[in-house]
Amino acid sequence: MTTLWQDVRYGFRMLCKNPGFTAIALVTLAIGIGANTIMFSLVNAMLFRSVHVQDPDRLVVCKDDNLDLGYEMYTYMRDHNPVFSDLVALDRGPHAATLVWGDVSKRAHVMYVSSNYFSALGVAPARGRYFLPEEERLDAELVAVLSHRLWQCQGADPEIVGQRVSLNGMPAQVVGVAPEGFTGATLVGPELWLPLGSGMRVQYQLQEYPLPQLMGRLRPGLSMSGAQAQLQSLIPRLRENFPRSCNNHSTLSLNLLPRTVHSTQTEGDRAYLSGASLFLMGVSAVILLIACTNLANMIVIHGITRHREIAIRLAVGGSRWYVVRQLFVESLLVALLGGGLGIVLAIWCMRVLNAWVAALDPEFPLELARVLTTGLDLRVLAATLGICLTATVLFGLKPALRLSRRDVVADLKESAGGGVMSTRSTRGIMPRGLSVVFQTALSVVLVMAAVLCTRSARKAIQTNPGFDLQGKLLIEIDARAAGYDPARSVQVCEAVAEHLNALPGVQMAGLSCDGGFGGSVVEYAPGVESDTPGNLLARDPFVCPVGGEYFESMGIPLLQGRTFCRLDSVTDAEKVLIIDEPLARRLRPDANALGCLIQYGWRSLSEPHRIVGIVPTLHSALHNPEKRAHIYLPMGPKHRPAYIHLRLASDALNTEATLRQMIPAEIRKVDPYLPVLSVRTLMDCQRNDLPVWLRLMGARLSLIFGAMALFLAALGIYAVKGYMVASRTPEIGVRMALGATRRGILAMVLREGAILTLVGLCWGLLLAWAVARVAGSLLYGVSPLDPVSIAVTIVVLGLASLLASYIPARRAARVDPMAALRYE
Amino acid sequence: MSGVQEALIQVENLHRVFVTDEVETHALAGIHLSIARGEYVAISGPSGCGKSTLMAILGLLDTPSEGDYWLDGRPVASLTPSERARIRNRRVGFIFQSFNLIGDLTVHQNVELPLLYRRVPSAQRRQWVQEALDRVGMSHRAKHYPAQLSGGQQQRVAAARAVVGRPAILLADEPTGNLDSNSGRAVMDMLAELHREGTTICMVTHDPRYAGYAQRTIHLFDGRIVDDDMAVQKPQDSLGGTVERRA
Ligand SMILES: Nc1ncnc2c1ncn2[C@@H]1O[C@H](COP(=O)(O)OP(=O)(O)O)[C@@H](O)[C@H]1O
Ligand SMILES: [Mg+2]
Repeated sequence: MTTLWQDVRYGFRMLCKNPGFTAIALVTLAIGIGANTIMFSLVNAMLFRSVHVQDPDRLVVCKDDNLDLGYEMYTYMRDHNPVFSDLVALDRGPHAATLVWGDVSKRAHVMYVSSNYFSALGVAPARGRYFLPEEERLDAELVAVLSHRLWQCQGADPEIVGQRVSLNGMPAQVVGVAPEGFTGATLVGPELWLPLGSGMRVQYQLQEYPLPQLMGRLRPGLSMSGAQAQLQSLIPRLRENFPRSCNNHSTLSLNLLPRTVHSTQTEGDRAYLSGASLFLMGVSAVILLIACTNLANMIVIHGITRHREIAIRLAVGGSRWYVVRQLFVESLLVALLGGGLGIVLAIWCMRVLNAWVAALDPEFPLELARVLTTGLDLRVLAATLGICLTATVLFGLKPALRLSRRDVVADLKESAGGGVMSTRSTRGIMPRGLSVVFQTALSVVLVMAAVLCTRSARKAIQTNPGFDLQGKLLIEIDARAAGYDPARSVQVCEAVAEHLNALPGVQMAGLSCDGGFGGSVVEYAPGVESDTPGNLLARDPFVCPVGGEYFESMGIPLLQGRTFCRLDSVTDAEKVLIIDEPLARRLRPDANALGCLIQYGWRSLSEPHRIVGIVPTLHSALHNPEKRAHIYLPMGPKHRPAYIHLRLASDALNTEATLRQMIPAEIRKVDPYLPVLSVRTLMDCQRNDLPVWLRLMGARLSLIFGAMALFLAALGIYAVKGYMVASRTPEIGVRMALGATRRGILAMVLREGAILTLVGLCWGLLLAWAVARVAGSLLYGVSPLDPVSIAVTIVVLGLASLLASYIPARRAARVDPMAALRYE
Repeated sequence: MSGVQEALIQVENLHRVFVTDEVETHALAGIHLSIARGEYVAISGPSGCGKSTLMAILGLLDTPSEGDYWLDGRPVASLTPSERARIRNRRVGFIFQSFNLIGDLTVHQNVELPLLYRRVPSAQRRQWVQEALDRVGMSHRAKHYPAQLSGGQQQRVAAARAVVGRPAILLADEPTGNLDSNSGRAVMDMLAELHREGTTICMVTHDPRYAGYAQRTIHLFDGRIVDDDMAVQKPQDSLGGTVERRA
């Protein structure tokens, strides 16, 4: 024990004696461990985080095929099946609804579930209770269970149970609060749960019971295949009881509960997430590789510089075991200290990440980002620490074993000097030269990835949607939740817009409605009434009713014709519309389509509309990825405005924030009942758009990790070059004696560094190209072979490695030739 | 003073003090020395008396703490580092005790090195290297690496490297120190041959047998010249006498 303590103390002394070595080794370890911990915590959160339900492994999704699954059939299956101890129905939610709670109104996500939902998942309420079976009925009084987060956000009122909220204008009573962290069977849950039967009243578009999706808990002891077999026995009985909904091809099949972020998550989302996760894991693996190379180099170099000490120890009778143990203790010390630093770094980075997520707009879609607000995963941290500890100790031990096996006499003789310099070390330097190439190549890949991701994110943000985003506010309102019919809604909204228009700083206020897809578009030909082909567009156009001031308030210029006027929406006025330029070109090659008549939707049902205006297309590959054509209709009494668009005066840009805060109160002055869901700048809308946000996040992450890789590689180059210079000091002395100038020596060392860098760059660019080809689908708007990114990568890496070898080169140039020659 | 103009090397009152950890070592304490063109001088003295320090200053690898040094009649104190490098390259040739060949380079490349620093065109370089290797009898090993040669052969290559640029003076610091007596004698014979061909040589040795090869022997002790046999005899006369006395 005392000898161990001595070893530790001696190890500490040695580390303090070589501050350069110690610092590089510690920083390398810290970055390696920190980066990996963050990466795997993120991946873990995205892919593997468990949902807060009891025995999620026993939960299955029951998929139906050729089955007209309705509520009655669900209840029959729930009560007459040999497979599930609980069978839960949930709608394919979550649905957005306007939640009004006191004077707070916001958009909330609601999920409609059968009353046994919570008991089947095995969670107890944090407050109150869950649903009663009779609350599932269509005519039951509305009740709601809040998510823990919503409850917290609204002030965590301990007297919450029994309070009333309004959902889409329907009053509902809060009966309970779900436990903290509970999100249902998916990673992101809704804000409220309502019984299945309330869907029809709250969600206007739902008819009867929402089409249920079935999720079941397998009976104890029943295997998946057994359950599958027994389930088939249910089909004949279903056919007997529901002859109209069930036929010969009806099947039921079981699937394990997919680890989805959201129940509406598509295959595409999941592919994106797993792609991103793979990418993250690859990045962290690369950083780990660079870090390990650095460590191996440092420890080997450290070992070489201690040949003489060790040779002397062995010569005076120290045992090999002693030497091995000493080196082992030293590398263990390095590993532990570095690991500690790594944990600190990981915690700090996690904080930064969480801060980014916390800074998000509360309207952020699906709250996907909140999935990432996890703490550090302890298992991940432990695993990373373990890897680094093992690696360090192994690397430390290898030279220790080799050193202790060395020929003592040769070592002593050698260090006593004489003979030819540096032939022996040549063999030692080559692999280290290779390691410089290797590290450079790896960091080229990461730097390139960082540059590409950054450019991709910038492109995504800056994509010009066809108008200026600056100085525009978007107010989301829900007139329907206030109980207004469309005609009243238009009246109220116009009054509100007029009031806002009069506010100082507001230049123009316009209205628009939620749009929809509009079927085929054909040019009107008199007498042709049938739905014959002649469709002008490959994809359904986006049809959006807008107010007369819409284009001006959005800053969308009119290319030809006029905007809408009040008379356009009068009942017996001629039907008019405004189209975008691509559609105009489909109609008339010279885009001069003013006055043309077109029909959209089903021709037999659609009146001809005259084109009175042409506007540019909305170029946002993110918002309009399929490049759909846009058709604008004059907003009439049948439409219900959903958005108020404000265009601010150019001198009001700095008062934008205050204006935003005033707006809800100003609207209440006009109509106290109109829920204002959000007031956002168009810039924020763009930034909080999920695809944009994901790319922004990806860019930030890849920048961080690219910088880490670059820093590590530079450290590695620095260490290796430093060692090379140190081991070549006598040679440098000779060269100086033979007439080399200091500048000549500097140039020589830099040149040698540059050659290694160049080779590394070439390999790295090849590697980056290969990676970019595979991961190119994660990019937006930049080619994997983007010349700017390649140039930036080359310059950044060239500068970094120049700097990293400049310091040792300067040291070489400062060698005192006399002192160098005295070595020998 | 015509002697000063004649002398290739002229030093007066040379001091060199090393300060390490606040300990001052007076490696040289007032050296007066003049070496004429074509002379062959041996410097001897016990270990640590300052021989190598003196050689380093003479070869412009080091600067004196005090005192004056004229090389070829020019004061060197005012030279910039790159001028000093240039003079080292053109006017001085070094031979070291431990040969100091660069292991990564072949014999030919080692010898070529000073010419590279001088930017001699490659055809001329090849010719000069060939001549230098011929002079030391090593041209048959031009493509070998130093590690493949014996100690004596390496020292001959080092000598070739020292003379390839036709320096005004050849500084050899214990050139035989790491050699057995046969190789040592061969190297000394080679130096004598170079001297006959007109090279000025200043050599450190503490082997009295080899000191006898020189025309003149300077004894150093504690950084001072305690005996300079030129002080009593002209160089020309001393040749026979010294050899007789030492041999
Ligand atoms: N760079 C140096 N730093 C400190 N002391 C030195 C240095 N070079 C030489 N010395 C000291 O100067 C003295 C003369 O050294 P040196 O000229 O190498 O002796 P010699 O070659 O005669 O054996 C010695 O005492 C030595 O320790
Ligand atoms: Mg010496």
